[in-house]
Amino acid sequence: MQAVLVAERGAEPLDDAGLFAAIYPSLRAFAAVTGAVDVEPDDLVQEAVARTLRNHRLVDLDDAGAYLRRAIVNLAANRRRSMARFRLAFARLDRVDEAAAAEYPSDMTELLRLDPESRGLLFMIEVEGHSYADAAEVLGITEEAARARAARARKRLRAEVEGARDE
Amino acid sequence: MSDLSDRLRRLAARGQTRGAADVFAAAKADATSPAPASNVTPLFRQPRVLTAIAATLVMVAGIAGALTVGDDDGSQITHRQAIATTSTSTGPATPTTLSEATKVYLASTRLIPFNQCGALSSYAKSQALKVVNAYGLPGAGGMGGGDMLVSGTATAGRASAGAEDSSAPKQSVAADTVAPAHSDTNVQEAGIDEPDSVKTDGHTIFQVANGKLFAVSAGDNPALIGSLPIDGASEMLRVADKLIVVSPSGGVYAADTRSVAPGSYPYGGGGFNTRFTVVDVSNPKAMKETGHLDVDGSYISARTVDGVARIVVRSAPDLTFQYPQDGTPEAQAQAKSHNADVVRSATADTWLPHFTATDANGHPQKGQAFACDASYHPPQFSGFGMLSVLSFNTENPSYTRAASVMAGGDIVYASPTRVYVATNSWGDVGPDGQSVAPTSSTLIHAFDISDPVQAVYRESGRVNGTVLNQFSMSEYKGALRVATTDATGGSQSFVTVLGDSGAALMPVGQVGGLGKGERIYAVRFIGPVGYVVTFRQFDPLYVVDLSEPTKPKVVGSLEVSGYSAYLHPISDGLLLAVGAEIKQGEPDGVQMSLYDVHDPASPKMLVRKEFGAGFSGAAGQFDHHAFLYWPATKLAVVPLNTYSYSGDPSQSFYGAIGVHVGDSALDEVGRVQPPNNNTNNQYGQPSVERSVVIGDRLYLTTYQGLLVTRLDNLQQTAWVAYPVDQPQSQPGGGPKAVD
Repeated sequence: MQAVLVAERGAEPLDDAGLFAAIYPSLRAFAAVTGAVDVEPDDLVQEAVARTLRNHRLVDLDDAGAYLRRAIVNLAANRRRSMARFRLAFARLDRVDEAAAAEYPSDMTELLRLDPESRGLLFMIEVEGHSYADAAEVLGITEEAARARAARARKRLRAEVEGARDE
Repeated sequence: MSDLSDRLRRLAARGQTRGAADVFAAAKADATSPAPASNVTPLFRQPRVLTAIAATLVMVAGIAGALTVGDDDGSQITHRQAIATTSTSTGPATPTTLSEATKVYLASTRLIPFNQCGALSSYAKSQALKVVNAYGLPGAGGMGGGDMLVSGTATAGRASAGAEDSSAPKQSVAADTVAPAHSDTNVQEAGIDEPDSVKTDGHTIFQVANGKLFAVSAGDNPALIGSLPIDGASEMLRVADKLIVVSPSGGVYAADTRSVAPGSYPYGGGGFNTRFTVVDVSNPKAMKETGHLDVDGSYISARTVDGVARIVVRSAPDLTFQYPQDGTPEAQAQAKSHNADVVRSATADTWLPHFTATDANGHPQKGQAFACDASYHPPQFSGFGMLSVLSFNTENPSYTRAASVMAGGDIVYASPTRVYVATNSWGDVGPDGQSVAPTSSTLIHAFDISDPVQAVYRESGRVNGTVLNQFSMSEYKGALRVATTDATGGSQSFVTVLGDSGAALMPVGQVGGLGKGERIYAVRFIGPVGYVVTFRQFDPLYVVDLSEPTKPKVVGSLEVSGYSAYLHPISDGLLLAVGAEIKQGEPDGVQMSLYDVHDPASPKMLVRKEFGAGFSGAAGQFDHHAFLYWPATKLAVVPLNTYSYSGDPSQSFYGAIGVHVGDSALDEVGRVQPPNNNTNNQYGQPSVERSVVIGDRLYLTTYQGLLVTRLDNLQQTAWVAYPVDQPQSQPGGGPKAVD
């Protein structure tokens, strides 16, 4: 993972803006997968970058891409948790996410129900072709935990698909 | 799962791409903004909230368990709708199941935290893209607030009373001398200062007029001892030995440096911002500015509680739209497409207002007092503007912090611990794509102001109808009483009691049916009693017993001709009203009425006096700050301007009238008219704006100078003229949102 993301920087990153431009496409895609559907991916990336820039220059980070992906996942997860608590108290608000999700094809529904970490993990494994070890490093978990989480996510998706067919 | 990667790829491609450069620039701007204060905790990071909901809803059930509504006969409570918990538990720690009605109420009132800028931006853009059109976004007339069509109730009779003891004499202690007894701004709640065009410490009278702050010494030889130019100065707050002078929208444009291309139009008109200038007045002869804060948006109102100024501003998003070049469908489509692109390219930075703080040395510091994680939106969309409660730091304006709500709103009420802001939800967008219909309910948002650094959003409530002004709300023993008029389905007015449940302002009691076919002209809550004046042809004064919050009831009423627009408690059981007679359907003259309300079931009018005839105006009808009551001598002072229909200047009067308020009589003590120093009469005869008592003198402010009279008979003893250059504000102050 480290090598992949370092390679995204390009050979000679001159400054934060240049480094960000190099890793932006993959960050944006990652944010689109992990973030809630009512949050624009660019806004999530912007938030992660802004919070990072408050404490660090991007070029000073060992792996800015991995760092920002971790920040994106954390932001997405925090929001999901807070909204979940919110829904507990205010059942009516379920409609907000349901309405947003309804704009997507039905085969997305199950995927969108996964937590941001699992979605990000599957994206890195299935689409970007990273190893479990690299993906685990980004998410701050062990490789074993990454394998277990991916397996659970796939099983859940499968179960939901089959459940839908049975209905 | 063979299609999993396909689905992930499709998901990865969602949304509108802004491009790396734009995203990075916006992130960099966000990063350089001041970080949210460490003590600012987004709502749902507080572990107490959910347990509080369960615990306090039990409390609500205990004290109420009922939402009551009026019946066809008016004031009687006739049926109840359970709105509390379904649990019978009484222990606060017991998990509680919320009733469906409670869930619906909570979900329809509670503000939703954005938590992060991305959520704010996405929410705002998704709402905007639903209604963006060839002329931009609707609601611009209300600064994005959605309240510009709320008419009828807020435009006239922004009346009401003074505080129960706000007129009690004050004794200020200056550095070396004790000031004589003096009056203060006539405020709604004792101890909560309100902004006004005049302030005093008992030694010096500070007044803003003509774009200047003037200092006049009180005493036997009053004199102008200092002045300081402050562009657009309209009113001020006093915090210790400093004044915060407000220059509302239209006064300055320092913070707004947007450039607008020809054919483009900033949403809400652009350029609205407000300057708050901090002036050290410890030495009135050498007043000096110690800094100022320029904030995007228009000034709504402010309060000073426990030495901290809380200021409410309303701002519009920084969006510049294009109008169609002609009426062809192609031009319309092109403009709509362009405007949609404008919305899509917006960031959180677009929606949050900005400020520039400037220190005493003139060094500006730009930033955001407004943080995404201290921002909220109502469940029901309420406008594109941001309504913000700023906690103003007079020592260092750059430390000012805000809590913001994406909503309109223009009525502010403050208790010692809370600031309440009333706002209307958006109704349907009109066929012109610009206007927005009002809804018939009002959301009231409560901000906790116990923290001197930052106001924190706490909870919200909803009432049917609209509120008239700040006096329509009143907090008493932890409950908020709200008087509203609902104009739908046959106008009638309500008094609703909202209980503080910790999760929401829950309606625990309501009485309706007041003034059917009429609307509220004045409200006054005094302790456990509410006085509501409605009007169409007659002036019913309703007495509402609120001693039992769950069972408010109309216990008495009285109908007289004309109307009262201002109610002031004189003493226990006596109520003074200022209003107008109605002749041939039009307000005619100014009248004062004294009511005996010792027996709430049988209010009586003791006496009514008319002052002036023809077309008259008493500032007291429209701004309670213009009214003075001095209990020591039982003197009421009201500005009075009467104009002869015939145009005969000898029958016109511009001044103030003093009335002795007896136990059952109103006797004119005297009237006084300021001199007109305006030689070319360009700006007309000056009117009296405010009156202040210091010692045995009455000081009356005008835009041309300060008139000093004896307190006992209003005979003029001195006139302190101000140098008049170009008056920027007419009597009554500069432009200001209705409060």
